[in-house]
Amino acid sequence: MEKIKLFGGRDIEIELPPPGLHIEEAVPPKNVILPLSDKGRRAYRLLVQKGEMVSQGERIGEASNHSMPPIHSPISGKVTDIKDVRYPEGANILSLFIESDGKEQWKTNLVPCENYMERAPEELMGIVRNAGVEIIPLETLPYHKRSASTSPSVRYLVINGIGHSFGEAIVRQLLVERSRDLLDGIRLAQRILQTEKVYLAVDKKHEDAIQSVMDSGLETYAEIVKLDVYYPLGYPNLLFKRIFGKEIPSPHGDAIDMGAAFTNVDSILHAFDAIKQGKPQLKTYMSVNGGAIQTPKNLKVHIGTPLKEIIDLCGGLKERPGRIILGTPLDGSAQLSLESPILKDTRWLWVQPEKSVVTDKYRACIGCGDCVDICPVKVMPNFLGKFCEFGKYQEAADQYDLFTCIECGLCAYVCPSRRPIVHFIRLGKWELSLEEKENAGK
Amino acid sequence: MQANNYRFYVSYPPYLLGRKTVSGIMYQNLIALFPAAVMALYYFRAGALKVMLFSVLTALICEIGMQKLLKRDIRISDGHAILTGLLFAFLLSPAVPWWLVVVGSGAGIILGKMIFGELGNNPFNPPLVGWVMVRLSWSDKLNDWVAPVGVWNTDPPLEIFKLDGLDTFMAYGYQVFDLFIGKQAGGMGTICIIAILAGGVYLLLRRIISWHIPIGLLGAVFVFGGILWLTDKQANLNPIFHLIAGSTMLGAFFLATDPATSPVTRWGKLSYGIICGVLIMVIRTWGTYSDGVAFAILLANTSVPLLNKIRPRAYGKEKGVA
Repeated sequence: MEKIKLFGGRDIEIELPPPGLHIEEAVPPKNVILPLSDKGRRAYRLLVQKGEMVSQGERIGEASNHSMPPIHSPISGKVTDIKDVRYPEGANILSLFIESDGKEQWKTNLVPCENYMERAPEELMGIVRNAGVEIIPLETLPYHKRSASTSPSVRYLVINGIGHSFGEAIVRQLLVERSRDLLDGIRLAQRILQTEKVYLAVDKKHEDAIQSVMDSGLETYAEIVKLDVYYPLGYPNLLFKRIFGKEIPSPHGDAIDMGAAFTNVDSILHAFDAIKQGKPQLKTYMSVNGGAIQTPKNLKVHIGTPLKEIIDLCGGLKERPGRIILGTPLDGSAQLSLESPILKDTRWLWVQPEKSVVTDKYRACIGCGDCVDICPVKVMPNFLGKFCEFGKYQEAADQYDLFTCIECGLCAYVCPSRRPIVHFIRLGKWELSLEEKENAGK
Repeated sequence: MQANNYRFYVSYPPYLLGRKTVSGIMYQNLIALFPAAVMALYYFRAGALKVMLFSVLTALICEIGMQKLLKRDIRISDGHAILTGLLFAFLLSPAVPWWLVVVGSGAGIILGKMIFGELGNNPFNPPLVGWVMVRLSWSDKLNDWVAPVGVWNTDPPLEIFKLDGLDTFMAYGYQVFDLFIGKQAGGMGTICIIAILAGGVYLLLRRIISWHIPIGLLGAVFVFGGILWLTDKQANLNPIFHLIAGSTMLGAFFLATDPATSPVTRWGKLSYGIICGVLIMVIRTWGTYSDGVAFAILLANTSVPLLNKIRPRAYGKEKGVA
């Protein structure tokens, strides 16, 4: 059991994967599932049909206005089905099922990009984008439809080496194993985004990661910020305040307006791989653990691999599972079944044993004020929860800063009435966004 | 073990929950009240037991009846009814008739809590609602004080001070230590200050209550009383006596800190404690009631919605923007 510090001085005890687990390459999956929409954003245009043979790395979906990176087939095989699949957040999403033929065949020969440090930034950016990697969200980048002058420039790039600040075994191990590549990746990102300065935020307790980063000579290119990490410091708003000493205006502000952009260690590495090896991003790094998992592991897996295969790779389950969670125990998403796929941004699969699932009914707020004390962005979760529970969404937004909430989950964690405050807040935000869409349509 | 054929819980985050629960808060409060209850039994023997039993049983029966009547979930096991009944009994003299205990305790649960819905929606502290009702209706019966074991004087110190003045009070020769261990007439659970303090410190250590309300309340009583005392030592009581006589201590640690009827933010809690303390002193100095803690806390309860407007600046907001 390890202690994770929470905002406000409490801590939470949780079983984390032991440090130093080597990142293993997972065997290619027999079949993959690829959702054709990106969490609430627009859907992809499909480039293949049912029954068609696809090869590894073939582009199978792209966004019509280039606001999202394209999707590639992570394996070679046959498209067996295209149908709606239910995902935990949002409704049904059209998904592509591909069955492997076991050949791992690429469509064309891979063309590694040579002398990449001498290429033009636009060209490098094109390669990275076509490889399906987002260093920072693509809408914020200058692109042919936007002019370079209207797009905000990225003066500071912050590389988040603390993840969601929940131990983050995989990020730590990536820093240990691939700090040399990270160095080259940072130089590339600097060239692509034309940044003034790069920051790398690391946990001050992760000595092995810091040692490896120092050994690689990374500090000549990036300022290494050693942080005393508490949950939820990894959220951009709080990390920004910690590094720059300023707050992002809320709720309508964005870090990019202040010239700062946030990215992750693995995004930088994927961008580097895409340029150096000339192949699209087909895999993602993740760690697997939780009370019900036999052997915790750090893995490099194909995107779209069903969770069942991942769990089998980790030796299966040792006791009855209660919840299957992608993300952290405080803000992740509980999966509906083991058929759900690994997504591009999955970094942690956490399997909670059934015995530790709390199934209390929630009750009325008793007004103890614990959530107000612990809220890291200082909104009043008790009132937000009450207002959103009874449909007063607009009041919640106007009077109690609904959109300032970062949904870290601490309020619901401490609530003695077991109120699903984060759920109410998400409901409020969702309803207001629907209203906004309706008004925009008029 | 194969990963097939399992059904999973699907729910909103977070998937880990803290250990503190509503029933936990109530039972911790009961544990904290235990020393005071034992001391009440020691000082008043069977009389105290009778009142406490009647009060707690009435509270339980009224709560279960109201929850059935209003078709709500039966939440009797969360301990709030027991706590309400016990706190109500603590405010009474052991000599009150049984029907008065039943009426007050029932009114506390029904009028103080259940007609507003569930715990948390009630604007006023339930035991105090019951107490104020019986106090205003049958004040002669309620003022039928009994001397605890080892004490001959049947009048509470503050009553003596209020009715007979400071000289008489001084003539009785009250010792601070005697009051501390409970050698005074008064509400059966309020007299033994040391037992209540022990319970209050326990609650503070277990983080069931925060220090803001008790410190605000006791500090305001002490400072207000001190100013009065310094301006005219011939007419006013030493502020130490204001703290250890009457139900100030019980109010500070157990009545004013009731989560449902106190503000949520730290500054709000501190202001609420100060308002309680000032009102206690105003009632004691210029009002007709000798103790006034119950009325002060009930009055301060009405300020809670306003005090909830005191809140920290949200992230990314400029100062002065609500």
